[in-house]
Amino acid sequence: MKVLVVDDHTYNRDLLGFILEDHEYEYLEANNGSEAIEMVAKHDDIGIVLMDVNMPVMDGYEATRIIKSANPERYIPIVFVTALDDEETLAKCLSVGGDDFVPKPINENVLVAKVKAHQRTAHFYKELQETNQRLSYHQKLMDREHSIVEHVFQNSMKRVASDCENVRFHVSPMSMFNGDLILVAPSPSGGVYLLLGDFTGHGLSAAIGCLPVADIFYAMTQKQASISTIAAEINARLQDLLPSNMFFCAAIIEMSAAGDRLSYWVGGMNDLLVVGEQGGIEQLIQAQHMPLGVLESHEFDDATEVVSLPLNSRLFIYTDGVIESQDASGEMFGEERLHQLFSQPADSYVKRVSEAVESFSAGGEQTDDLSIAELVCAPVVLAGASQGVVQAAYEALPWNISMPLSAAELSREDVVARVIKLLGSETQFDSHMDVIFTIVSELYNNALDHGILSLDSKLKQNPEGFESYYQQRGKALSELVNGEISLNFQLSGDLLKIRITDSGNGFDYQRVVPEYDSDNDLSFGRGMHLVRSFCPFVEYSDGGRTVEAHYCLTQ
Amino acid sequence: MSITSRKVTDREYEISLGETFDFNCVEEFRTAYESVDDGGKKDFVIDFRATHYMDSSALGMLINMQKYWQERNTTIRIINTNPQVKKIFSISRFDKKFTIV
Repeated sequence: MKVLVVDDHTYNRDLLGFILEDHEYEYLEANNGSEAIEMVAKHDDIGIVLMDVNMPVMDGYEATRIIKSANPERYIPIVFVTALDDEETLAKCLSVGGDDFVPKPINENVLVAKVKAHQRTAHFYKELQETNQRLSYHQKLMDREHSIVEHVFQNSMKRVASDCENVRFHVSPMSMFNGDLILVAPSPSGGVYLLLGDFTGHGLSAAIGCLPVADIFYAMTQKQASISTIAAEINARLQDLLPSNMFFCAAIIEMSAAGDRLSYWVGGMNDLLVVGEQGGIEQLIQAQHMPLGVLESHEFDDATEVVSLPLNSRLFIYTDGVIESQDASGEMFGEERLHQLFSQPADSYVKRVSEAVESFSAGGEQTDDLSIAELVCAPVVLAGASQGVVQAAYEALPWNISMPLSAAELSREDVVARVIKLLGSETQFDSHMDVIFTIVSELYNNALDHGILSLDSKLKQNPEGFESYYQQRGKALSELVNGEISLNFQLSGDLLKIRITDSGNGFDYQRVVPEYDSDNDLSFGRGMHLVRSFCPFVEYSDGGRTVEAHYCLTQ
Repeated sequence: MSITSRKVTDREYEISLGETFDFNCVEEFRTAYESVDDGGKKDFVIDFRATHYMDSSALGMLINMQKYWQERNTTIRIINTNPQVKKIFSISRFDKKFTIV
């Protein structure tokens, strides 16, 4: 750091220069205010200016004003060196931006002490400035990372396009980054899944666990997994991922399509409220379990409870943020206040509760993370969902598969399962496999049971016979030496042709295909009726040895 | 084993089926509903959530279950059927014999 000495008298400059040199300060000189401005602009390392007041060309006041306003980012203390000691002069020195005075005649000790003091201040200023720069750099970095994370979060949380009209929820804006989570997904059988949870802790570190939870939730609900399985899977994953002081309080709920049956797994959550159609809390559902991510898989209890609630009951679920919201005096919202909100019926308790909490906590400390949801127990309505199966444009290549099976293969129990696995690789069958299984299974088992093994369905007339039929079948199969069944599948366009031929003696297919009577109580005789319902063309030929059925993929 | 059963309440039992529900399950399925018989009235829920594949022998097994319990005013509810399985039930008019939800 250098000191700039500004004075029009050589004598004064020399005197100040000697003192500064004695104390090992480097210094530069300027003859007047104008030169001082140039010197400051040219020399970055000028840290203090000792300024005379009256000078030719430009006086010290003007020079100080210009130096200060031209270098807002530099901290350059300006110390006036003056013999004038009237109040007016001193006040003016300060008002133009000066920082201090040293009276003339100069006292060496006072001058050096003041320079040292300002040098210290300049040093702190510089450190502060550097710290500020680092902080604002990190702030920008964090803002950018937050916006990326927010994007990822939003995409991973909201992957189901359909909205379920039975579920209403409210998530306060900061909740997501604090580890609150609400997920809703339809189940393939027409029901709906709901997960509401809260990671311990706050901030992004608490929120990070939301990602695997959402992944598991969406993947498993698609497969219509049970609540137990979903809870166990999430627990296992969080056990692996989270540090031991972090865990996930959650309620996982599945409601049947008719809305009359709720299965739930609740760990570490506040009581769930069951609200009657006409308002009023009718039941509290307590958490039965510890939060997710605490117990090892082998200790984990995946037991779910099942409850049937009257039509139009509501299930209300909320995170801690609701009852822990504080008003201006620091009082908490509390369970009692919450419960009172349910004494009268409401269109949406979510709305009523979120508004009540908001007005309660107005002026209080901002508790940002609260999440609430309500589930209406009524037949599930999915808006914007593709109900049932979306039919993809048909683009398969034609193919023909023949499987000649001999006695050794026929005695295996997994023939139909194998065939289905093979056919399953044709992606155009995706939404048809369940029905194709039924068709193939019926036709194949008829060929095997009646054609090859000559079993009689009449055996199945009573429950004991039903079982002994399958025992006989198993025995006959294990002893089978001769016999062949040839399976042929042909796909062309949207038509799957299934042709099954057996080497047996034929059978009375008319009797296997009785007139169908939906009221009968027989435990057999429905197979061919099913096949005929699914296939527009079904024909037995060659005395029952061959059957051909056509299944249309666009039906 | 592909079939599991559990007690929900004193009266209600839940039987969960595997991916395939066909004649290979005959014994297992019968055991599932007969083993809980203590002489009293029961409510059964049969969970089809995992089931994709079934054929007419499955229908036969359900009929036999109904016959076994019918003297005792037992309810049998079939839940979580996927759309294709539901279709198989409705074609066989099983939705008239059983509560399918």
